[in-house]
Amino acid sequence: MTPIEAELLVARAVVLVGLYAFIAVVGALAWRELRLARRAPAAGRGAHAARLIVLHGGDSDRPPGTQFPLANVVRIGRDLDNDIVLADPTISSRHALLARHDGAWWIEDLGSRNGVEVNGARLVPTVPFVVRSGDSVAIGGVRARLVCPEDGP
Amino acid sequence: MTAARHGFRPVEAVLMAIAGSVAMAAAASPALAAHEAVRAADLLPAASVIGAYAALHALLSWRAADSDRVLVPLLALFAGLSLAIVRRLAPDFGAAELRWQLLAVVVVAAAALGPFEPILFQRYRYSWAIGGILLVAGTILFGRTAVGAPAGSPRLWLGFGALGFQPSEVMKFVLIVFLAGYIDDRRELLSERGPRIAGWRLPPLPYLAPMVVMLGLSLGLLVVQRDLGAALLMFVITLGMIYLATLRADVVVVALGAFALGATYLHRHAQIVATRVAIWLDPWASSQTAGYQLVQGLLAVASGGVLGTGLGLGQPTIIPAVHTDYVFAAIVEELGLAGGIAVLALYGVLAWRGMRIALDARRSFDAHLAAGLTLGFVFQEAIIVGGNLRLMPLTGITLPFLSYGGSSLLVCAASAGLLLRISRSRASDDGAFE
Repeated sequence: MTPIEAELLVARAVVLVGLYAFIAVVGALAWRELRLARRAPAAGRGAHAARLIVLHGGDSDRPPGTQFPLANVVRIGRDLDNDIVLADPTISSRHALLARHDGAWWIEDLGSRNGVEVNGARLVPTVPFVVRSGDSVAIGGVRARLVCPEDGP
Repeated sequence: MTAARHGFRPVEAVLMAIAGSVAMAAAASPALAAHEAVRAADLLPAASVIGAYAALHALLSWRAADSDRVLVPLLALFAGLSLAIVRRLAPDFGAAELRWQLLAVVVVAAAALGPFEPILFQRYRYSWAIGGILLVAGTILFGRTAVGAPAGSPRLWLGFGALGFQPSEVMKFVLIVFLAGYIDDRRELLSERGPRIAGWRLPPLPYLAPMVVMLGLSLGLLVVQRDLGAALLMFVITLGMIYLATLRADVVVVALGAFALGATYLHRHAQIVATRVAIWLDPWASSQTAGYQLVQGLLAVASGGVLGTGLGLGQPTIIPAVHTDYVFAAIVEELGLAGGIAVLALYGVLAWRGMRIALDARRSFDAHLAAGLTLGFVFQEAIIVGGNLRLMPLTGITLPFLSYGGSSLLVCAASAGLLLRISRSRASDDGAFE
């Protein structure tokens, strides 16, 4: 084998091995992502995570007891854009915003047609209001309870 | 899942290093084969393009550390392969290829980081659609053939002097943007039901009608132009995007049935379609004339074996138009079955990242746009690779990112840049209250 042939062989090996190394690294990433995706919802349903539990689903197809794990910002409404989509005619397309802020949960009526009630009291639109664990929240015709174990009851 | 806005991205750096090594080896191999030595001038183009992508990697680490980590190294790897292959297959186009590749990096960066929002595409979707149709109509009236092409070949180019571009490439992009905007616009109609015909419930008509009109116009214009590859590509992209939005298999079946009818009609009445199908069914009957390109392509693929001849050591330049239409066959000849499968896997990686970005997108317009752009890459790659391997009739379109072709490369770069940008909006929204 002449030196040129050896160099050509090395070049070819680097190209082919490099291509498969690239694919292998990406494959490992994909594998990790799939495993994380399988674990993530389980973590969200854990006893310590904040969640919204449906008490009365209205006309949406959410049966009582449905749990929605809460991220730091949760948009609620009929629009498919929302984090929690409630397909009920009494719910506006962008109805309410639930957010973790300054160590508490705040709910805000985003100017909806049928409003938001916390423990039976109608909220002033677009003014965030603190909700605590155990509070009952009515969003249009859907009622739910906020549960966040780290806040106490 | 909140990611830091700034920060080193180790996975991307590792992938960049691999892409750089492959690009350098791929550039060195044809030089060794041709003149038994590697000069600095042989490596400089690959080094400059990889350097440009490395700079983009650094820029993303600094400005958008939450964006996708696989796309930039993948683009760098495609660019390195493309430079090596095109410079080897068509040395005359080497300088132009380098210019387009460097411009492509700028386009990716501008689309990913530029001061605009993809939502603007949605706002002006009808202007886009009309602009795209005018472009193609202008090509029919004022179009010209590619530089150096024989008289009588399809006139697909628009431009003056040495500056020209292919409107059908732009049209494809415009169609995807329009469809994403339109689908997002009408998504509340998805839950409604359309008229019922003979027991079969149509999707709501206001949902389908403008899409059918837009698709019909673009297809008609392209068929008049004899740009069948682009027409086929737009058809399958539209079908894919409608399916993703509606999840209605029956719509796909009916559309494919209509496609079969249209294809049969064209086969009977359009000379170019009949020729293409005849060559596909039996290229050997006309192996010295009409079937020459396909036969030489098949021989190239066959002569590659498992590991290939080595870059620069095969004879892929026998194939006519190899640097635009037959890049995949050339890769298989010189890098073998192993290289061909690896390249297909790279498109698989692109598909995975694109669909992941679509799934994670915050806005539904962004999701439809990302999915549509990804479908565009995948279908385009499938159509031309299928044509090269005689799995389907050959239609002359480019292999995304790898073929020589400025319009194609820049549109692909803009699409990939948009995917990167959409991947940013995902994480940045999550941290809004942090």
